[in-house]
Parts: sequence; C-alpha cells; structure tokens
Amino acid sequence: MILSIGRRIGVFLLTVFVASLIIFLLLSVVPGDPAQVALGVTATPEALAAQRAAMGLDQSLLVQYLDWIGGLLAGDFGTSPVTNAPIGAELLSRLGITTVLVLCGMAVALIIAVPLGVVAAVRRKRPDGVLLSALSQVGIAVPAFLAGLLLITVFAVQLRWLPAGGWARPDEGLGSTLAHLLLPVVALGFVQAAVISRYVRSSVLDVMQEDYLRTARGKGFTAPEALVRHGLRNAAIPVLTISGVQLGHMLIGAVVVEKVFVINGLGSMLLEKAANRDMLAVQGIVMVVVTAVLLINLVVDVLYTVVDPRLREASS
Amino acid sequence: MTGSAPPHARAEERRPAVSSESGATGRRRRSWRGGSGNLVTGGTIVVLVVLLALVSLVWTPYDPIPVNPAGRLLGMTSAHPLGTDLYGRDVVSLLMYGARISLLVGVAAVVIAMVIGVPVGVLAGMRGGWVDQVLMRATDVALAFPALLLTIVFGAVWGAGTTTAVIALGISAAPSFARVSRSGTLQIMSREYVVAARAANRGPFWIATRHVLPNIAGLVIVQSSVAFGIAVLAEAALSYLGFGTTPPTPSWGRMLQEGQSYLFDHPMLVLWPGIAIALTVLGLNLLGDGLRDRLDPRAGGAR
Repeated sequence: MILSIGRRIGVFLLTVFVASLIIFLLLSVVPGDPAQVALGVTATPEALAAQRAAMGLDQSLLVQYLDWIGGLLAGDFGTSPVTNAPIGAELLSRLGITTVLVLCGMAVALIIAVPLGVVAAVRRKRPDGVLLSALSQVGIAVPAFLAGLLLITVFAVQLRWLPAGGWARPDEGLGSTLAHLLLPVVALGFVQAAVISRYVRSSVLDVMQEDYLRTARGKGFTAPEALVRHGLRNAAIPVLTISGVQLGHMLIGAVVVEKVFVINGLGSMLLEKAANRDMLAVQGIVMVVVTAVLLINLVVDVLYTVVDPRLREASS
Repeated sequence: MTGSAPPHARAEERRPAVSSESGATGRRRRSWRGGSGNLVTGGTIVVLVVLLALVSLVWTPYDPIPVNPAGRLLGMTSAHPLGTDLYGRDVVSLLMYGARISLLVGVAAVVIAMVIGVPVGVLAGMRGGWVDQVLMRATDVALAFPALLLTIVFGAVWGAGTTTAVIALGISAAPSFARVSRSGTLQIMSREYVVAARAANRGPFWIATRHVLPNIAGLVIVQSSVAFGIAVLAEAALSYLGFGTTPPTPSWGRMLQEGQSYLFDHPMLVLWPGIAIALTVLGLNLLGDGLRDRLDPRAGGAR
C-alpha cells in the first residue's frame, strides 16, 4: 500500500511540474511588453531596458521559468509589475476566504445530499422518492451563480433578511460573518447537493442488492437496520470519490459565486488581475488553483485505498 | 456493483455512472420506461430550444440589438410579453437570440473537443504501451485545468470573446472525450472481428475507421450531450463575468449580469434568462441520460 501511495505522490508531483510549465508558457506568450505595462507609454527606451533587466525579462525563458518556480517553492509569488505589491500576501488572504466558502459549501452539500439520496433510493417506487430524484435532476441544471442570484432576490432584496453580498471577518462580529456567509454557501452547496445526492442514490441502490445485506436481513435485522449497519459504509466509497471531484468543481464555481456576492476571494482576485493584465499574478493564482485540484484528486485516491480494504490488497 | 472500479483508476475515471433507472428496478424496467421518458422529455426541450434559435435567424419580435431608451424596463405588456430590459430591448427577442449564442458555443465547443479528443483516445487505446501512457498522462494534466479557469486565462491573454470562449471550452472538454474513446476502444480491440481483421493484415487506420469508430459512436454521442450541457453552463457563467460573449450581442449570461442591478423592481429580468439556462441544461442532461440508457452498454442492461 505504501508503495502505491508513493507512486501516486510521484505522479502528482510530475503532473504539477508539467502543469507549471504549461501555465508559465501560456502566460509568457502574452502579446505586449510587461515592462511597458509597468512604466506606461511615456517611458524612455533606457528606462524600459532597465525595467526589463530588473524584471528578468532579458533572460532566457528557461531562466525566467526557474526564477519563477524557485520563488514559488520558497513561497514567493513575486512582485506585481502593475501594482508593485507582493502577490503572495494578497493571494494567501484571498485563498483563505475561498477555502472557507468551498468547505462550508461542501458541508452543506453533504448534509443535504446524503439523507436525500438515501431516501430517494429506499423509497424509489414511492412518489416522494421519485420526486426527490426529479428535483435533483432540476438542481443539477441550475448553476451555482444563478442559484445565488435567485437567493439574493428572495432573501436579501425582497425579504431583507440577509445581506446581498460582501464579507465580514469573524473579529467584526460572528453573527455578521455567518449572515454574510449563509447565502453564498447555500448557493454553492445546494447545486452540489443535487449532483452528490444522485450518486448517493445510485450507490445505495447498488448496495441494496448485495448479498451481505440479504444475509443481514436473514440474521434478523429490519431493512433500515441492515442498511445502516452494513450498507451505508459500503455505499460511502463512490460518494467519497464524487465528493472529491466536486470539491475541485466548487473551487472553480466559487469564482462566479464570489462575483455574484461581491466577495474578495481568490476568484475575484483572478478576475481583477486578468482584467488588469497582471500576468504574473494570474500565473500565480492559476498555479494555486491547478495544484489544489490535483491535490484534492491525490487525497481522494489515497483515501480510497485506505478506506476500501479490497483495493488495498489489490494494489499491493 | 457499479461503484467499484479498478484500484488504479484515477479520481475522474472512477466517477460512477448514474443512470435514471439504477440497480434492482433497473434490470426489469429500464429498457423501456426509464430511458425513454428521459429521452422524450430531454429531446423535446432541446428541440424547442433549437427551434427558437433557428427562428431567431429569420425572425424575432423586435430587433434585439439597438437600444431604445424610451421603452426601458417596461413590465409585461401585450406588446412585450416578457417586458423590456434596461436598454429597452424586448426580452423575448433577447432570449431567442441568446439561445442562438448558447447553442452555437455548445456545438462549436463539442466539435472541437471531439476532433481533438476522439483521435487521441482511439490512438491511445489501439497502440497501448508508452503511447497510451504518455497520452493519458497528458489528459491528466489537461483535466487539472477546469473550463472556466482556462477560458479566463485565454481571455486575459488573447482578449475575451465568443471565439476565445469556444476554443477554451473545446480544449478543456477534450480530455473527457479522449478518456471515453480510449475505454471504448480497449473493449472493441479484444473482440473477435478485430482480431480477425488484424489476422487478415488490415492496417490500423482501416480497423479504426471500420470497426472502432462505428462501435464507440454511442459513447461519444452520450459524452457530447454531457459536454454540451457543461458548455452552455460555462458560456452563461463566462458572459456573466464579462469573459464570454461581448456586448451588444445578447446572451443569457449577460442578461443575468445586466439584470442583477434591478433585482428589487424587476426580478423577472433575472428570472427569464435563468429559466432559459436551467431548462436548456436540464434538457441536455435528460437527453444524455436517455441516450446513455440506450447506447452505453456499461450502464443499464449490462449491469
């Protein structure tokens, strides 16, 4: 098992490395001269040359790449030529906000999806089970940002119960933080809940026709007891997988949700920097997001091996 | 059991298939009721949206592009059944024109994804060995770049617009086509008729076009319908963010963005494009589920 986990980590590192090369090359081919952007159109040729040297633009692409990646490994994202501010500090604080948003969203999604999925599976022939299944299909078709707009319309604009947007740090009052957090988290979570509940339903249905469940019934358990004691743990494995995949999707969905709710997370930072053509910052943000997506996949892969003993044997 | 997958499968691949009629009931009922219901409902919705878009090519109630300051933010009237937007443009006309943009982006992105993804997948599946390893590692890397992220980066580099969005969405959908085609190809390559064709000294290109492609077409069609839905959602999100279709061309995402300032007095301005997006994606998803039950041997009857 250790071997297979080690191999996965190796593949992860290799993938991150290749991704970093692609990101670097993609953002190095940008038309326009970053030195010109930093100094403006009135700069003299000498000043431009000096600026290019200061930014390392006179070096070969390889040296520039090594500079950048070396900095990243040391936690230094560089200094933005547009704002002259270090990128790393802003990126870190913005990443914190987005992380809170995504993790709370995933918690909401699982809290809704697991019970609903189980009910939809167990009661699949009853009207309520069919209705739940149909509702989840509708839920998947509603993007998170649209859900956010509708939530704002109802709860912020019409009813005036909750703020329509913005963010409050916990030291500004916990109640305010929660009030600001509620709508975006529900918007993110609801849609994911629809997706995940369908996988819960499908994997519970699969488990329900397993022999061990019939055996448990034979030992005198009622159907719900048997399901709870033997079924749910087995049904959890595919759900774990899909939750990991969806966590990555939520990280991206957060970009749009942050825009809807005017939250200064990583997504809005990406949009601002992309609009200002601050390519070094964009490069850093994209690297962080891509690494996060790959890291989530790695964690799911490893958890998968740890949780399921059958796979543990198979892969050793 | 559908949930279990080979241990070496990667997270994306292990995504278990969800069919409309799963498990115990599926075996008895699926072939007819479950699949057909989705197929008919989804197909009807998609056909309606396509018709709206086609009609908008020759006729819309009003011209959706010029601004009409005198008639802005009219509620529902007999002249404008769904009202007018903040520029005085007729909402029905905007929605019809928006359908055209959404479908155009969806079709173009799917075609690009297919043209890149299917040959890569078939090549990986047929050649195996290091070619397969390299190509699949490449799709792993590509999968780490989600569609929205890639489009925003492309927009920052080459300027935002419908073309940029289509290319970025197409590229980011390609890896899933490659995966689907590869797994389909692997199944086909072990069949007797392929073994016979190889024994008869048929070249790989002949086998690919005569045996592999016709047999994986079903899988690719199902994947197209899924990718189409994702592209429509992404286009809406991108236009909302200002990284998709540029004004004055109407698009559903842009309508959402423009309507957001008028949520108090005119919430319907957000509701209509919202319904249009959700309904289209719902139709495509149902169509995909229905097609999967019909065409994909792994879901439905085989299990």
